[in-house]
Amino acid sequence: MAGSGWQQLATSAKELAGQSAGKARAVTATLSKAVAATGKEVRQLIVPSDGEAAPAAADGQHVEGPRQPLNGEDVYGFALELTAEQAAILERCHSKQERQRQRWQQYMQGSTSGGGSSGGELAADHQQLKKLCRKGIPPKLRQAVWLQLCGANQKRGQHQPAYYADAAMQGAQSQFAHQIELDVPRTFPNNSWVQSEAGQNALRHVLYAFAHHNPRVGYCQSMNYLAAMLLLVLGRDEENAFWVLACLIDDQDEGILYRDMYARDLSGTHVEMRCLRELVQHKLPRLAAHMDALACDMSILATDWFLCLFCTSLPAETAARVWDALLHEGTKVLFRVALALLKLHEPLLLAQDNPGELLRAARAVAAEAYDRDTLMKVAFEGVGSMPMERINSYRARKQREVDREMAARETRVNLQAAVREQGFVVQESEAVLLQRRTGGEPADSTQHASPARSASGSGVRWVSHLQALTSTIGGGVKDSIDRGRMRIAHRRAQSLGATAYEAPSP
Amino acid sequence: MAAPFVEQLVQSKLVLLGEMGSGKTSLVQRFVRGQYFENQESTIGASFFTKTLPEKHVKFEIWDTAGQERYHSLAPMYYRGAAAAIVVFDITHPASFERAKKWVWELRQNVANPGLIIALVGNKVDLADESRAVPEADARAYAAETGLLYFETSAKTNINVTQLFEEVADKLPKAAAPQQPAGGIQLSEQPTPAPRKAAACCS
Repeated sequence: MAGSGWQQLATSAKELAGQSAGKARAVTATLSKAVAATGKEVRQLIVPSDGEAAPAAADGQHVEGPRQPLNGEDVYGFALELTAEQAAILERCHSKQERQRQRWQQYMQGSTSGGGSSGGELAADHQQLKKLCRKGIPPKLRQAVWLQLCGANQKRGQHQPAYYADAAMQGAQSQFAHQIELDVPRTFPNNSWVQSEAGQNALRHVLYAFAHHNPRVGYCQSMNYLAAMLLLVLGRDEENAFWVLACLIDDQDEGILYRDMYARDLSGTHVEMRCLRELVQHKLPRLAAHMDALACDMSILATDWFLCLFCTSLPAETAARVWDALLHEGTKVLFRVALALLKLHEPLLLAQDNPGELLRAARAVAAEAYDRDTLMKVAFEGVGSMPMERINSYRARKQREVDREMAARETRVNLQAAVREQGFVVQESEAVLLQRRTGGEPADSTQHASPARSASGSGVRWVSHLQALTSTIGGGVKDSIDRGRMRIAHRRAQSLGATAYEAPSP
Repeated sequence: MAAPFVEQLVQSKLVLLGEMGSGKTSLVQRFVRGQYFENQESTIGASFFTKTLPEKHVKFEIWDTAGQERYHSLAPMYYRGAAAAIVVFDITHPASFERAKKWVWELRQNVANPGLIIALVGNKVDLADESRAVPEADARAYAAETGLLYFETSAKTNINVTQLFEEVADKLPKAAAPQQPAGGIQLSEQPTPAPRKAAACCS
């Protein structure tokens, strides 16, 4: 199965080889001259001049000449508004991409020569493939390479042919359908195809299908952007987009991303944010200290980077470069790119004096990261070593931390809800309330003022507070609290330790 | 030259909370930039805006948050230390009103600032005639009994948006110390008790 995939790739590569590189170079030269001539804003540049700047468009084929600023859109149809400097950067990246294209062709031919490529042959190519992916996959090859890299072809082959169509239909009835409907029209409003009727329908179907396919995750805001990006890169093919999305997020069979990134409480994202914080501490200690001084949590800067895999933060072609490496190497790439962005713009970030301005500055520099070659070079060569073992040991530690805090939060929320249902509002800190209601000794203020300080003990303390309360007030509230306790005992007995929650005594 | 004036500006942290698709980002865009986009992109994480109301001597530092329930665990980071909160619901969508009530409750539980201003906002009032599903009287009654400001707005047709933010500005304590922006995240939402005198207010 794997072999046939790579053979397809080789075929695509041969097609590519047939296209005229000379023509492409001529257009590059024309554009470069135009850039030099205008000097300022180059929006006009993007409009095709009626002469030689629009070669090979007539046959309707997607041609990989240096034509990306054509019609004011990049290769994926995102509106571009460039300064002259940015246009020049794009041109430079594009010429590099052309050279990469030849290397990919050689690689493809090599991997299919010698009769029937086996898995072993690909494994031998691993280092070369990694290098090629880091340097970027040419847009025309991306579709086939991504499907192969992330295992989407394989995953698709393990299901019935009608699996996708069926899931898309069933998903329309899911509890997430309403949320999906809210987000579909507001996904990439600056992309004309995504906004078209065909684009909206495709996006809706992919998200419906995923919500049905993986009901534990269902729909999480940000997946709308992932699905749209996949549709754009994968030739607008819904089913392919769906399977790559599944390969990224499905965690029961080793998804590419860390588990529970998108699940109900985003706990995986919290873990990743804390890991990134550790890495910044090691790699960029001045920035880490600055963020500490501003009380700026890493999740303020990087939540959307990790949930959207940079596709809402970086220009689309830069984001696609991140995904090229991500789909081959895994999540470590996200940490590398995040560190590269922070490192490249550290002086600017250090100059911001509150978290809000820090966020704005980080967003602004990311949105203008047209120089995908430099960003990826810094990501892979400029932020030092980052063994997966280290990330995994951070993750294990941070996961325990997050689990504890989430459990404490849930305990608290459930108890609050139980109390609220009865119309009894705990408006003040429990210590004061207890003191007033019971008329007794003021309780140990440190313990009572911060019931959730020790996460594992917090539930117990909450229960004891409320038990004390119920001894002095009506039975209705007590019933409600008992119900709350039972609910919590049921949900979290394992994570908090079953002994913490004995059944309420009648 | 402008120094005496600048000194009088009170920086106030303001947070927007509410169900997804209720129009939080659109309200901020309308207020800060005077813009409205029919398909406003959904907010992932949060966004930050500033807007100065010179005549009110207020500089708002506005945190606009993601609305989906599962982003809830991020919210404390944005509302901690807030001087004001705008809780938005969609008047055509009753579930968003219920969610707004939960937000109000959570703010009351978890924000230490006893002077926190909370405004409840029924947005999309331009759709009131054809598809209102939350009666204005219900929302007003709830706001009154809970001690909230109440506004019905339309970010789309620019109804009541400026008034909302100006009213919030008017209610802010004038001598308030500059608010620290977002603090660190703690998922357990532990309330930080307000420093206050015993038995200072009712319960």
